[in-house]
Amino acid sequence: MKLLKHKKLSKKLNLFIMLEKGSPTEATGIIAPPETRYKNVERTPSLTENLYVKAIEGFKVTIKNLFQKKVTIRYPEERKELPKDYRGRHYLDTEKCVACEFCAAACPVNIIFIAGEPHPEKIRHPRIFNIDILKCIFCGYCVEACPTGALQMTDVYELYSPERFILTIDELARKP
Amino acid sequence: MGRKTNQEIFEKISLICKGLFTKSRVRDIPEFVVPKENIIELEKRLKQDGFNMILDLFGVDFYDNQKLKDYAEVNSRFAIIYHFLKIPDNERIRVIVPVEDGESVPSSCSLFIGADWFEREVFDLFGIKFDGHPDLRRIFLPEDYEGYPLRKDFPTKGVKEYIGTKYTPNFVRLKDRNKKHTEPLDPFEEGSRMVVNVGPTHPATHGTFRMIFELEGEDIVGVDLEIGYLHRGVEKNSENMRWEDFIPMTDRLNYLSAYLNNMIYTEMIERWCGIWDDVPARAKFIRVILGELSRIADHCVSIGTMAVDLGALTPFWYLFRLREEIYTVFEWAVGARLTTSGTAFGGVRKDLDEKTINHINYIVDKLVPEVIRDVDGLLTKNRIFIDRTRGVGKISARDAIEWGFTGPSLRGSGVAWDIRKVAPYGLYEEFDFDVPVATEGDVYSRYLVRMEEMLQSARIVKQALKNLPDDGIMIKSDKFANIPRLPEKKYVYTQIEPLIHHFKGMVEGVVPPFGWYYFGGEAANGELGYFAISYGKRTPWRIRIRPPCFAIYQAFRHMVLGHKLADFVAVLGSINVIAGELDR
Ligand code: SF4
Ligand code: SF4
Repeated sequence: MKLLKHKKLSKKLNLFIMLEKGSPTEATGIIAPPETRYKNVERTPSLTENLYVKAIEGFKVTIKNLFQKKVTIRYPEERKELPKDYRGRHYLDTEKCVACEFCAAACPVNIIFIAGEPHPEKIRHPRIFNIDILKCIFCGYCVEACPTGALQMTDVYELYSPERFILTIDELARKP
Repeated sequence: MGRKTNQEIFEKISLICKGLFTKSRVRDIPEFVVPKENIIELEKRLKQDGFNMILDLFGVDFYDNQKLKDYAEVNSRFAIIYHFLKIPDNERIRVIVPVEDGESVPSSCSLFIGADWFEREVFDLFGIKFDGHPDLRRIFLPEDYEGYPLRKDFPTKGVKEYIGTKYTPNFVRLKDRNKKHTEPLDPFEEGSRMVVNVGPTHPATHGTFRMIFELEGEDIVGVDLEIGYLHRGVEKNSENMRWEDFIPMTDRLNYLSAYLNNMIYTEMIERWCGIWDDVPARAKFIRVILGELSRIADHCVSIGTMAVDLGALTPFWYLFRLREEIYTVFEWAVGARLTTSGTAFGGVRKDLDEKTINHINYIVDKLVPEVIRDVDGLLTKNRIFIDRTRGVGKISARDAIEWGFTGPSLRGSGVAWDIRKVAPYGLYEEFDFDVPVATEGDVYSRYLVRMEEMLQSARIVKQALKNLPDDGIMIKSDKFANIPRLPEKKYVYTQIEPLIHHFKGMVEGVVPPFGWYYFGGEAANGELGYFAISYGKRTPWRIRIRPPCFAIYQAFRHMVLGHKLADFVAVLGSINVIAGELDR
């Protein structure tokens, strides 16, 4: 009975959509562009499936998986190995940086603030170098833009900090 | 039967629509400038010719840029651009309708029902009204919002803050019940209807959007959808961004398969600038490999969360295990998990190393078939799952096309439409794969299509890995002035000339040719298209994103009407709505 009502309702639904847009055409065949090779994956449930027999077979899958090797890791005791050039927290080599502000110009969200000062050896040196890490989208464009290799990204991804969200030059220069 | 060339389509449409347009030309696709009085007549004739989908409908504000107006050959401040598509012949045309401020345009909803939300969006963001639209409300922004954000004179920062949104629902109702009651009645009274609000944050929505249902007993008899909770103004922001800075923004559209979004955007710029042929094959192969892997990851989430919503938790874990392995590949191959930004104009940003390749091999050879087999064993033949999904959220091929469906949702309705096949981009014509279709058009069909598509994607990756060429990952040629090639870092550090090139590239950046261009590709949910206008500067004039879910989600109202309340989660899961892409 429930099923019947359901069918009636969907019929009504179809009728309604059709009425709005002219003559009814049901999805009978497959519409395919010329030369497109397609694979029809439509299926009708077999008798055993209708009798819930196959549903019980699902237990086989679960039981099989029960005896498999665990795939989870016990973070934070265990950690995933990450590549060296993972796009995590920034690291600034203040020795190399010449305060050219290329990184600031390349940043899509404009969160790098640099103030340079003259330096006897390399002409310019960053006095202030701030990255507003809360707004950072970790795109790595600043690193790509840096002509001296001073700015790099590390594999540090745990950036939790209770109060400070702006990385200053001292924090940036700290080796992870 | 070969495909018609643009010139042939142009001549055909010129003949059919004679006298309706004022200007016409062939650019990337045939274009017609049509006065707004003629648009309905033009659509009628297009429809007779077999054009059955409004792929995209959006506005452009030329403001005071005379050069762009000359390019578009219009004299008004605004233009509405329609992209019409003919399935299955893949004929596309663009129609440009000039509009002045304060004017209105006839609505296309009576002919192409899929224009519904697209017109609401234009109304919302440009303030252009559509005469005869059944439900012209703001769609992303609150009702009491002042101003129209995508107009060029609207400041990017906005004008004032809005706290709380004002929203008046307007229900789509089952027609035959409409007359009985108009007001929600006392829920305890016989035959009355109740209003149930779902969302904006609800476990079944997987994103922030709100649904309001009118129920009679458990049957859904009225639906209204509110979206826009995640509207970040990506299109507005793009106008203040350099072309290359938009790549990270594309990550945040469909964040489940960010790499595909990157790939399509990058390829658009490359084709536009005419450097596509010079992009090294290895870069193209890497894009295909990572793109298809992210398609698998996307389908994993789609199927997994749908199963969870229907009460099956186990398949979710198996699928997320596969997804986690794929994200491990992304960690090594691009350096990020979710927001990949893995491509750059002219190639990819990072090469695949031996270890990553081995891991990908393990995934496509072993893990994908294994996980699919497990999930298959748990769901496909499960009578409980079949009962919950078969016949639910049905949509016929014809209706699906009219609403603007693309991707797995359309293939679930029996249309073998896949842009990778009909208009191969990337390197997809080199690979051997099938397009899965199912004919019923219900939740179960869409599920079957997604399952098969994962296997097909794995097949593509396998072929790509086998033939991976070795010719560098970045474009080598210097002859293209408009795509600066950043030299390799090790030369920048040590030699003066690469350093100068580096400076030049950084300062000048990418400037695509003056004009506009459209390019669409097969993202995980359907056709993701970018339409961009360049005015010869480092920032775009406008980037329009054609989101696949936006068109699909508007039909959701009609797909759930008449079903039980509990069925909406199945329908929602099967069309895989991603709020990031929906609201942009
Ligand atoms: S990673 Fe991207 S967003 Fe973050 S500071 Fe660098 S350029 Fe800016
Ligand atoms: S681009 Fe490099 S050298 Fe220039 S300011 Fe930034 S970190 Fe320093």
